[in-house]
Amino acid sequence: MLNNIRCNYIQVIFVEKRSNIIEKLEAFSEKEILSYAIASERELELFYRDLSKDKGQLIAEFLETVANDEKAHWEVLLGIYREKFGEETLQLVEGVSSVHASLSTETCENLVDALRIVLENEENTYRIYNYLSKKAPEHRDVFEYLATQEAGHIEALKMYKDYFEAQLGGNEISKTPITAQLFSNPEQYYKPRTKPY
Amino acid sequence: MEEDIVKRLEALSEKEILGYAIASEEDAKAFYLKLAEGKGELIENFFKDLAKAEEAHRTLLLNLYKKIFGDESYLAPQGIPFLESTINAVTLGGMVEAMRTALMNEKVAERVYKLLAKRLPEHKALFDFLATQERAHYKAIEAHKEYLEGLMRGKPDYADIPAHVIFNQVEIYYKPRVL
Repeated sequence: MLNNIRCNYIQVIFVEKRSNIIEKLEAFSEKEILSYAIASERELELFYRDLSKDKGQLIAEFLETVANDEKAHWEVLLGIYREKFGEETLQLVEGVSSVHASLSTETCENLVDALRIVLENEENTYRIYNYLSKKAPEHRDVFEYLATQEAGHIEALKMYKDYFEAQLGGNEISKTPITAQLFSNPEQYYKPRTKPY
Repeated sequence: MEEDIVKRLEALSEKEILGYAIASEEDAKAFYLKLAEGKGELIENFFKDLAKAEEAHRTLLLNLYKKIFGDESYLAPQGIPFLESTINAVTLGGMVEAMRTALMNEKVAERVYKLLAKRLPEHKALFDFLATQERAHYKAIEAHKEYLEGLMRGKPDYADIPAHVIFNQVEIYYKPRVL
């Protein structure tokens, strides 16, 4: 069912400028904001799962962990949505421009793109949960918990960004394709491969 | 205690420091699995993921140990304590205490890997990666601790509430119910 929802929801933006995401959402109903959050989490889950493919087990395990978190988040949100509105059909948010029609690893030609896009998304979801915790105080603890987990993701992604920047020597990160080779250094100590990446 | 542990490790050989790091990862894994028990699936998954990451670290270190020293029979150095790993995290207050211990563990682990990166520079990329992961764990645990502290703020009696009761407020929305 969510796949259908996702198809109908393709116009929803997943990357918004930090400064205006909450401003824009202010104009929307709680149903629209929740719909936006559910679709965003779903996209993030798929993005992390795509990104984890063929990168080596070590980094894949981290990305799968984050993907599982995002899956749990949209399931929690859908539970709230169902309780509040008695249905699972999401309500399309209109009037929010699309920067990226969808999150996809195909849009990320290099590591810095992937990290930038995903960090912006994580920061936006963090802001949305903080906003919802005030707008829907009956679910404050839930939204604060989700914000807590997003804060953890943001910090972890920043750590990885710092690590790769250090490994690649500053600006070179912006030119680096996301290949398994990038992750091969720690990987060689984990599950040694019999053939090169 | 963190400072004391690191200072003592600095005086040891690479073999002993690696032995300590491997044993610490085993301890950390057990600690997180214990912390995960009976809290509800969402928070359990958070701690189980941490345990899984520590297990991966142990594997990495053990493979490195074997590569350098030719076998896997590492020994943790005598006289250097591991951080407190016995926990009673049934209540919310106990959970916050356990997370403070976890934060200290992660901090020490990060410092140990930074030390190893200096002592074994040919494996610096690996130790930098491990230090990165421990730092990421620290931040994630810190966020969770602050969330729990936030719940208890101004409500001293909350400290004695079973942790699973608190997490149940989130958990009830997790498992879909039939309409």
